[in-house]
Amino acid sequence: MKSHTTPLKMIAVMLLALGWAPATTMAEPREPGLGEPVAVFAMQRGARSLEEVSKRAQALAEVMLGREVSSEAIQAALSKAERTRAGWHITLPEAAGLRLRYLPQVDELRFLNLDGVSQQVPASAMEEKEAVALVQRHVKELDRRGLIAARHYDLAAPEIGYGRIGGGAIKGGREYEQIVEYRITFLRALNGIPVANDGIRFGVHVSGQLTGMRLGGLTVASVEEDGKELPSAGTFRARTVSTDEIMRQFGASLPQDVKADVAWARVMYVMPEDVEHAVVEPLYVVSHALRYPGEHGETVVSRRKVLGYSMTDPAAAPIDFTAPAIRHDEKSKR
Amino acid sequence: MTSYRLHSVRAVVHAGALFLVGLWAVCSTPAQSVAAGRTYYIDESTDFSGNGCENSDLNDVTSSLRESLDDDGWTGQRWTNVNAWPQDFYEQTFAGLAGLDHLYADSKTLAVYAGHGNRGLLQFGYRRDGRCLVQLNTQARLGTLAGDTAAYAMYVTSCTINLDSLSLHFNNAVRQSFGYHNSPSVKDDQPRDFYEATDDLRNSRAWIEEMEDRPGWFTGDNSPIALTFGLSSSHCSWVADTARLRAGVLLSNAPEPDAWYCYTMFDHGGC
Repeated sequence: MKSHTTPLKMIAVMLLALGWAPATTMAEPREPGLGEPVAVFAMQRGARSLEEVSKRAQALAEVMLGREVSSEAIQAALSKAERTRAGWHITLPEAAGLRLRYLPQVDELRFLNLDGVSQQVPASAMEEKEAVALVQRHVKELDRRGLIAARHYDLAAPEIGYGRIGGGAIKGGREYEQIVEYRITFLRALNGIPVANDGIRFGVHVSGQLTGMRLGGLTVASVEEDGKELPSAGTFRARTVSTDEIMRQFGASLPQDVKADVAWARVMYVMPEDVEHAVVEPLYVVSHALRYPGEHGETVVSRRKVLGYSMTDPAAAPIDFTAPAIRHDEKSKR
Repeated sequence: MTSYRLHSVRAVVHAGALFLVGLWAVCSTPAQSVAAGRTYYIDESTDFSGNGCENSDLNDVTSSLRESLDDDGWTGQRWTNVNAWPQDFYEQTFAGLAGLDHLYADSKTLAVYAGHGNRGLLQFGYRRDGRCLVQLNTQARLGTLAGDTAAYAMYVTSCTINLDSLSLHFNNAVRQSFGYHNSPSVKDDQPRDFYEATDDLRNSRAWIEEMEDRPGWFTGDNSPIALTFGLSSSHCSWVADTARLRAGVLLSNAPEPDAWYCYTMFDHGGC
């Protein structure tokens, strides 16, 4: 977005200079202290034009394949894409092992490289740090191509999952278990605060081959000044609710005899699902499951719940990002 | 005793047929392995409030799956909440359970439960005959005994296929089970998207690809796992590499007895 200074932005820059944590580096996810202003951004997502999708797909395909892919080939493939409820399914004739899918509702591009998916582990398997370094190079390459801005991702703080395989005899126990793939994610960050629903994820087989890529498409209305992102259509609010108070509220909300397994809890921006536009302030997000007592001493674990607590309004109810939607009609049984 | 005698008879029958079934399963090409098995059974609980089986209410994740299956010519049943019963998954021949799996979960190729759970455990939303839970290792026998039809099981529940408790699934006799090593966050259409992805992706890869996160999220919340069974190590790998639900590849009942298991998963943490 074009950068042009407005009074709001000037105030923002002053606030940043006075006390808001400097964002010259995004190496550490930051948690604003009490009284600090937090930036509120307008965000949007939605289907891109065919031309935009084509450009993004071409750049990702070239990184995946390690060779040039003609824009004509991508455009031709896109024009023939099978458009289903689950997205656009795109097949590239020149890369039979590559599966492309575009999810217009969330503006997300997904690549799966079936040629890279293998159960075989080479003798000299790539180590995790090598895989991270490889992915960091790819992010910079995507930056060079103008697809993303690498500075918007905290490249020093990857989130890493693992593709595992294993097996054994039913009566003999596990005979093998191996990591075959690294799942490396960089979340989009706004001045050090990650965005839950925007980022880039790479799958890297231990052979070094890329197995897949996911690229989110959230658009943040911001301008950049002095290495910081400022809201171009938002505002600032002061943090008034501490993390301790939020976690106390969270604990108090649990039903009697129910315990919570907190998978992660941190400050994040979360764009609500199923909307194209929203003004989003950072929340303290608690991703957790609940443990209910079942019958005969069993414990039952709920599916994941993701609650976002306001850091600026102590009276605000938490936002349940996993709340059930409408109920479907019941039919009588036999 | 009756159930044991029945089990023994079935074991003899299966032993006699094992060689032929195994040979067919191993040697047949994917195209030849298509059986007339496009049938499904789905139970889903979303209402867990005040029905005797307390837990958090859930979003509906199988309506769109059923629509897609129906659109593709599959036939089956889907029951929800007060109409979804633990007994649907209980083995009919086990004493004291009043099991109905021969009519429901084990009467179709694809058996699905969506709700809450734990390791090897399913929790239904409404108490029926004093029960809310299904212990898969002691109360269910999908793909064998009464019913003997389920070839695939999908559990959209927390922790049901936890890596450290895989043996809780060894008494079923299905080709594959799909579930989670942790407590997942699942958006409404993800089971449908998994099914539709199996048009050209093998089930095991499609499951972990579709379920790693809610669409549009990058927080790595889910640890999906596809657990495959086979007569041998190589047969297990072959089933994992071959089976595709939507493409109709390998919809036939699983040969028994399973001797091997193999799994593939994305690990973002467990229960």
